[in-house]
Amino acid sequence: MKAARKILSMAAAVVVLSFVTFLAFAILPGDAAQARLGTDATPEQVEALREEMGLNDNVLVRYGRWVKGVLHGDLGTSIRFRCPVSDLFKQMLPNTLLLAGVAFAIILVLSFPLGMLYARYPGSVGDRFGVFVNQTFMAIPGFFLGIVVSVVLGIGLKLFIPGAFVSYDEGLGACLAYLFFPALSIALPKVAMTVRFLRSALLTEKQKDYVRTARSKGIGEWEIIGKHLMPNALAASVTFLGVIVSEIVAGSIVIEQVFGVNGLGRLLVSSVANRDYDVVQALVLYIGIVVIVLNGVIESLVQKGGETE
Amino acid sequence: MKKYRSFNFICGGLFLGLTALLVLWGLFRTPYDPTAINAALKNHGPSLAHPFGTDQLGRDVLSRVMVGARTSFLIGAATILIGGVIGTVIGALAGFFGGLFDTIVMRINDSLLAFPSILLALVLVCIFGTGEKNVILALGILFIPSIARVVRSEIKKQVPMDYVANAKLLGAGKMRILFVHILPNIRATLLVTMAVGFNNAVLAEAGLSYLGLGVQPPKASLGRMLSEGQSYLRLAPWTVLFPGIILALCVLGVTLISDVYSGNSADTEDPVKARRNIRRFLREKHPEESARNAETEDVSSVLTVKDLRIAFASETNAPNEVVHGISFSMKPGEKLGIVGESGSGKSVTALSVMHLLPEKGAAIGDISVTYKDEKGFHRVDMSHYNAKEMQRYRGAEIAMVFQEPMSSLNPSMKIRRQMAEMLTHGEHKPAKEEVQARLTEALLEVDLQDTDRILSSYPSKLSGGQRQRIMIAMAMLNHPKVLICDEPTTALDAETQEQILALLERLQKKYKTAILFISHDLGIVKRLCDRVMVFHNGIVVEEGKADEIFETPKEDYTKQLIAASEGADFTKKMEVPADSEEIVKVSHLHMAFGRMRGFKPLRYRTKVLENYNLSVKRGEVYGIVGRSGSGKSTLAKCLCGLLRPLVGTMEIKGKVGMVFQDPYGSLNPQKSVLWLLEEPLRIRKVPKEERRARAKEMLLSIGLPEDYDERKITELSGGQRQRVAIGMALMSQPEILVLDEPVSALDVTVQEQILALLTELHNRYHLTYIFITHDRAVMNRFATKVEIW
Repeated sequence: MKAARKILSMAAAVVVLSFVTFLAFAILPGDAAQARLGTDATPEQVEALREEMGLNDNVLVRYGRWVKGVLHGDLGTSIRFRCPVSDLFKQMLPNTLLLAGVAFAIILVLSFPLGMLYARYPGSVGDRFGVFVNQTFMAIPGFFLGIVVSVVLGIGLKLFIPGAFVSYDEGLGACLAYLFFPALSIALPKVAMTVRFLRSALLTEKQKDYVRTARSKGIGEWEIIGKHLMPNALAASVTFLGVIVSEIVAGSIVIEQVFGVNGLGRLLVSSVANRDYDVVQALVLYIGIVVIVLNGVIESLVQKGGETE
Repeated sequence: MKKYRSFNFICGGLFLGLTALLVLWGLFRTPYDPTAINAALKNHGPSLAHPFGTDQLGRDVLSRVMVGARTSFLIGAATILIGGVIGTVIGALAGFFGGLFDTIVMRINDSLLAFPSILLALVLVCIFGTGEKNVILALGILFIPSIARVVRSEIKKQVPMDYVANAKLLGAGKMRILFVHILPNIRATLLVTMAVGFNNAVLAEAGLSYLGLGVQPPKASLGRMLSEGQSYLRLAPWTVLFPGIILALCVLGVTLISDVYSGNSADTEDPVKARRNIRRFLREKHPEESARNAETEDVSSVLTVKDLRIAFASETNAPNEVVHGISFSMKPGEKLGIVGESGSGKSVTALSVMHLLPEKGAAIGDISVTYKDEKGFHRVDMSHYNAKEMQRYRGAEIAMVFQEPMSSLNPSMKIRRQMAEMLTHGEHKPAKEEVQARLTEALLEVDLQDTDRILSSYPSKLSGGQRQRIMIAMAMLNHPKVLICDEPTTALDAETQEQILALLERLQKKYKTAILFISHDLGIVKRLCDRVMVFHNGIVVEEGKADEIFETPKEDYTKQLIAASEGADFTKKMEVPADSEEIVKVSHLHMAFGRMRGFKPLRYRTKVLENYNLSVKRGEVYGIVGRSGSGKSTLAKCLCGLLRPLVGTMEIKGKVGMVFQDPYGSLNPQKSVLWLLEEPLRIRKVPKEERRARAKEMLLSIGLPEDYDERKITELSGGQRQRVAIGMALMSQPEILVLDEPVSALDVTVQEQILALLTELHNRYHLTYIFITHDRAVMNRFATKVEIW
C-alpha cells in the first residue's frame, strides 16, 4: 500500500516534470523551426517549416504527440547532429554513468574514514588543519579543480593525457583509467562536503547522554564512534547522500567539458549553446527522472530506517 | 570577542580583503587596458611589469582579473539580492502563516531543490539566452527556493516558542510579531545564508561563463578567463591559475567568516589541551595542595576523594572554578547522599569520579577506589589515570546511573547489545550463552519479567521506569564496589520513584555496594541515605548522619534548604474576598490536535481535553495539578485565547494575562528589560513618557533594582527573568493571570521568592490566579482551591 502510493506520487512528479519541461521550451520565442533554418531564412520559409513540424498546433496536442513519441523511444531529433536523440543517448550515457559511479565510489571510500577521524579528535591541530583543507576544497570551483588536476597529474606527473578520452566501447579498462581523474575532480569537493557533514553529525551525537552512558561502561572512544555514533549519524547521512548524488550529476556536467569526456553533460552544454532544443528537453527529462527516482528510493530507505527506532 | 581573534576569522578576512582590494583598486585604475591586444606580448610569464603575466592575446592578466572579478562579484551580489529578498519574503510568510500556502510553496520549493542547480541554470539560460543580465535573472530565480527554505525553517523554529505566544497574548499584530519579534532573532542565520548564497552565485556564474553560456567576450569574468585560458594550459598556465586562485580565495574567505558566525567552524578548542590548561590553572591557583603528597593508605574506605577541585573553561576569562576542594570517603556498603541546588557542584563531583566531565571541564585532586577480593587489597588511584586507562575500571569497579533514562540509552541499539557491552569489553569476553544468562538474571533482579522481549527491544518501546530499571541492571552487572546515582528518580513519576528507590535499597543490601546518591530532593535522601553532605556553591556546607542533619541542622544554608523543601504556607497570606462572583466559566470544553496530511483536512488524532468544566471565582487562586502531558498547558493556552477550543463555551469576565513556565523561552532574548516591559503598552500606542514611567514603576513592583532597566534579558538569572515575565504580563493590567508552571524551572530557594512575589502582587492588584503545576507540594501551599487531574 505504502509502496504503491510512493510509486504513484513519483509517477505524478514525472508527469508534472515532463509537462513543465515541454512547456518551457514550447513558449520560447526563437523556436525550433527558426533554429533549424538559421537567421537568414525568410519568414515564409520559417512558417512553412513550422507547419510541417506541427509547431502551429495547440500546446496540449503537441505535448501529447511528444509524450507518445517518448514512450515509443523517440526522443526527437538533434538539429545539430542530424540524428535521433536516442542514438546520442546510447552513445554517451554509459560514459556518464561510469564517471558518476567512479566519483561516488571515491566519495564513499574517502569520506567515511575521514569523517570518523575528525570526529575522534575535534579541535586538535590535525582536525583544524583538516577542516581548513576541507573548506578550501569546497571553495574551489569544480572546473578549476579539474584544470589543476589536468596540469598537475596530467601535464606535470604524466599520469594521463588530458583530452585523450577513451570511450567505453573502445576499451573499458582504458576508459576507467582515464575517468578516474575527472571523477577525482568531481569527488574531492563532495568528499569535503560529506566529511564536513559527517563530522558535525558525529559531534552532535557525541554530545548526547547515551554516549556518557557508553563511556561509563568502559568502552573505548573508537568503539563508541563506530558502534554507537555511526549508526545514529548514518540515518541523517542517507538524505545527505541523495544531495551528493544530485551534486555528482551537476559536477559531471562541467567536468566532462574540462576533460573532454564524451558524455551527456558535455552534450547538454553544447546543445544549450546551439539551442538544440530536442536534445536539451530529453536530457532535462532524463536527469529529472533520475533525481525523482533516487530521491524516492532514499526517502523510503530513511522511513524504513526510522521504523526500527 | 574571541570570535574576531580566531584563526578562521583572520584567514577569511585576509582572503576577502585581498580580493576586495584587487576589485576596488581596479575600480579606479588598472595597470593596463584590460582589453588592449598586444601581439608582441603573447603568453609572457609573470614579471615585474606584468605580475600575473599576459594571455594569448598579449592582454595583462592582472588588469583582466581586476575587471573580471568585479563582474563576477557584481553578478553574485545582484543575484543574491534578487533571490535573497524574494526568498526571505516567501519563506517568512510560508513559515509564519503555515497552512495551505506553506504546503504549496514548499512542495514547489522541494522539487526545485532536488534538481542540481547547474541543470536548472542551464535550462533557464537556454530560455533567457546568454549574457550578464540573463545570468543574473536565471541565478536569482534559482536561489529563491534555497533561501526561502532556510528562512521558513528558522521561522518555524521560532513560532512555537513562548516569547512569540507571549507577544501574541499581549496584543501584538501578526506583522509586528513577524518583523519586530521574530526576524531579529534569525538575523544571524539569515546573514550566513546570504553569504553562502553569494558564494554559490559566484561559483555558478563562473561555471556558466566557463561553459561559454554566461558573460560573453570581450567582457571578462573569472569563469570566462578560465575557459579562454584552458586551451593554452601548457603554454601559459598563469592565465588560468590566477583567476582561479582569486575566485577560490574570495569564496573561501566568505565561507571561513560565515562559519565563524554560524558556529560551524572547527575553531573549537582542543578538549585535551583545554583540560590540561584548566588543570594547570587549578594547580597554580592552589600550590599548597598539589605539593602535598598522596596520603596514608586508608584501606577501610572504598572510595576516597581528597581536595577535589573542578573548573570549567569560560569564553572570556580564566577558567571558572565550581568545586573548591571537596574531600570525602565512603565505607564499603555505605549510602552517602549529596544534596544541594542545581549549580552547587554535586553532579560534576559525581562525574569527575568517573572521568566523565563534559568537554570543557577538568578536575584535580586525589580519587581512589580501594577494595578487597580473594587476592587481597587493591588500590586504584583514579586521579592519575587518563581516560583510556579509566576504561578498565569504569563499569567494573565503579558504575553509574544517570538522571535521564529517556536519553541515556542509545535509541538505535537494542537493549541486549547495550547491556552486553558491559560484559564483552576488555580482555575477558564471555560466550554468547553466558551473556544471555547473565543479562536475563540481571533483568529479573530488577523486577523486569518479560526478559526476552525487553532484550530485543529498542529503548523507545519501553517506559521511563523500565529504562531506569535497565540502567540499574546494567550498572550492577559486574557487581561494582561503588554505584553512583545522579538524580536517578527525578525524571520519573512518584509511584515509579518509590519502586526504583526500593529496588536500589534491595540491591545495595544484597551486594554490599556503596552508593553515592545525588539528589535535589531532600525527602528521598533522608529516607535512603546513612550519611549526607550538603553542597552549596562548590563546597560542603555541612556533613553528618542523615538523621542529625535533617533534625538538627547547624548551618544557616542547610536550614534554608530544609525550610524551602518543606515550604511556607502562602495561602494564609493570600487575601481572598469572601463570596465573590464567578469570573471564569468553562463548560464542555473539548480539545484535540491534528496534523495536515497533504491537502486533506485536519484529522484529529490526539484528544487532549474531553468535556472539561471549570469555574473560578474572583480573587481565588485556583490550582490545577496534573502530570505532564495531561493537557494542562493546552487548557492554559485556551483560557488566554492562544488556542481556540474545538467544542465548548468559555465565559471570561476580565482580561487574561499569562506567565509561562520557562523564562528562558518566553522572553525575547534580543531585547532589554525595559523594552520588554514597555512592549505591551507600545502595542497599545501609549505615549512614550507614560509607558516609560509605568514600566519603571513595574520594575520596582517586581523587585528588580532600578538600574536593571537597560540590561539585556540574557544577562539575568532565571529568577530575575521570571520576575520580568510576570511584570510583562501585569503591564496590560489583567484581572486574571494564568500561571503555567511559573516556578518549575527554578531552584527551590528562588521558587520561594517568586511565590512570595506572586502572593504580594495578588493582594496589591486584586488578581485572580489560575495556577497550573505538576508539583503537588507547591500547589498545596499556594492555591486556595485545588483541582487534581
